[in-house]
Amino acid sequence: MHYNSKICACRTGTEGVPRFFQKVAVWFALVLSASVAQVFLSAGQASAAAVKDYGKPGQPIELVIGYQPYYTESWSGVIMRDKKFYEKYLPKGSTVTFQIGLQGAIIVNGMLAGKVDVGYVGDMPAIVSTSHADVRDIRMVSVLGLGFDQCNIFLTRTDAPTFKSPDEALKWLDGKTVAVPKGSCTDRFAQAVFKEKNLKPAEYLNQSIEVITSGFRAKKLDAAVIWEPTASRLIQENLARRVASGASVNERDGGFMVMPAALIEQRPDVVKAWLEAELDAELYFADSKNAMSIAKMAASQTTGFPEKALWASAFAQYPKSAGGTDNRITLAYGFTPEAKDLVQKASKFLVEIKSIKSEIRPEAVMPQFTADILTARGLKAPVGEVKALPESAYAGK
Amino acid sequence: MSETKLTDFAAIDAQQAERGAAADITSWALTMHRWSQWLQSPRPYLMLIGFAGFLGFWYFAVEVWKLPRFAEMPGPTQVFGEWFSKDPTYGLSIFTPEYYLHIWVSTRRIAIAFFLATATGVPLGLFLGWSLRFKQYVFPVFELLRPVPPLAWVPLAIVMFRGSETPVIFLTFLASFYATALNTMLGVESIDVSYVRAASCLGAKRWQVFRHVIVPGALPFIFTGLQISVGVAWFSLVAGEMVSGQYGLGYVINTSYTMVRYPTIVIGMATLGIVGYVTSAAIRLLGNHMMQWRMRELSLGASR
Repeated sequence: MHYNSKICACRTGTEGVPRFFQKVAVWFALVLSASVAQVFLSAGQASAAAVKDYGKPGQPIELVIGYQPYYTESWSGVIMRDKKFYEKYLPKGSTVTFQIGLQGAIIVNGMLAGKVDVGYVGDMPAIVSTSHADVRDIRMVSVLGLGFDQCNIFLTRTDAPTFKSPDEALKWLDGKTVAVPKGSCTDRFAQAVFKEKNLKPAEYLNQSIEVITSGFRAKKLDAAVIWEPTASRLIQENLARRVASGASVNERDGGFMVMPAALIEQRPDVVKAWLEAELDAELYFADSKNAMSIAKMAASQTTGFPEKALWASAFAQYPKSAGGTDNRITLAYGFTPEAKDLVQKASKFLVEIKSIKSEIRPEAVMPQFTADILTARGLKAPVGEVKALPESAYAGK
Repeated sequence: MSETKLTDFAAIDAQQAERGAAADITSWALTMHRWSQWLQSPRPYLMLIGFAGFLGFWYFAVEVWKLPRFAEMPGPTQVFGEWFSKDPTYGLSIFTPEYYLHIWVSTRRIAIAFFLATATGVPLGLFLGWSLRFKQYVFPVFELLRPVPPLAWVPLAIVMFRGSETPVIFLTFLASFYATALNTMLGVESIDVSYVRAASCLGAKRWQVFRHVIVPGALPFIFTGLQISVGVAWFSLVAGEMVSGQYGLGYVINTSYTMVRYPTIVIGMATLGIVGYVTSAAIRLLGNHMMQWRMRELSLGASR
């Protein structure tokens, strides 16, 4: 076989790097230096997303609603989907699509991507959503509900010791394996309680509600902090025991409605229409005569949750020793002093734990729409309460 | 080298031991020589040009041109700003100890899963390729389970295994195991049957054929499988670390998604890519090194 020294030299570089590749190497070095210098020297440019066009006031609109049937405090969204209160307020010809989110963070990500127009989320994802104005400017426009035992329920495994008080139960969590879905209202609440009570779990696991369910089933978790209705489901399936809640530590939680600023600016008529419908939904929720009907609606919009567990998540009376309350949800609708206080406090805390860059912008909370609607209807915030009912009030199977 | 009678087995063993030691020294020098050749060749520079092109496209698409759907992504300025910040906004950068803890935890899980996948996958693959009867029993079950993604195993993994580490390692092990076993089996099946016949004609027993013909013959495929295996182990890790819930690069990515920390998602992904690349390259180098030694032994033996 003939040995071609030139070819071999090119392939193996045994006679030095050919001139062509030397030129390439120099060119590359220049380009790389320029690129790296450009990246590091240029200030972070705000790469705001293209603003969505929602049309002109009065025109029909297509709305995508991100809501959570797996989060009881935001069930005004469940009622909206079933009762369609929005039909009488939105411009004729408008279409509304409901998308289920298993967690508020999923809805927030959808809103930041411009795929969701109205979000029903817990307090932490609501505040986090307003902190990414460089991606999409999102605002809080209404309060879905406030509570002490909706998004802040401590569960332990069933063979945990019997505690004399919720305080003793919380102390027991020190050095234990505790799971929460990170980025949720329970995450904020759990971290705040651990900090206040100086508790340090051995493991603080970020797990979704289904992984937590499997974890309790496999007896791998000592405790979890979870929201309704998953809490009631785990209790009724005898997978976990309720030991404390926000009521035990006077720590409130809340659900909020969020919308993009572009929708608010371009279509105040739609915002008003949706909030009129939201008020109807919250008034419906507040009427205890509708309890069974609401449980049935939730059952039809969820999977894997027994109707009784869903009913219990909103209406059951839990013992005070396990953080039970007489008033399960305060349907604030507007930004009451309690709601504003929760937002401020939560926002400060989220900055401390580096969840958000800075405290919530004042313009991110827009109480004016709900205030105007309440005035027009002669109502005041809060518009109602979801009262705890005796077990005998459950009329299902 | 002096002539040795074929029956003088002790002397043959001593000569082979000498040859082996010489081969080790020579193969290290050969490896270093190949490194220097690589550095003098255009390949590393073309690789760097590729990376520069990718970074450039990312920068221009997100931060300069703000292309549709790209404009909402974090740009390199934001990501590198966070990644190399002494006080990162979201608490994770090269200056925070947690960053290295996450890398260590993930690497440890990958190492254990990869080791288990290799220890079980290579023998299984060898037997699947070697024994038709064994293949007829086992391969249909193997092929039925193979397409099931690691995510689908999450609930069962939590229930089946004790603790929180074992389910993660199991989920990471799964994809790795299938890649290793399948490539090993294909390696065995790729060996020319005339080698087996030749060895048998020379008096080799079945296990000698397996040890001296099948195993070395399948090595190139085995190492290809190991490279693929370590890569798929890394991307199964994200599914696995959803179960673990506390540390690891998959955990960083998953948590950053729920906390809406986009720069940290990219940092997690990039770190995972870099560490994955390094582990894959390490396997490739090990394979090159091991197979050099085998080739040299055969060629030295042939030259006598």
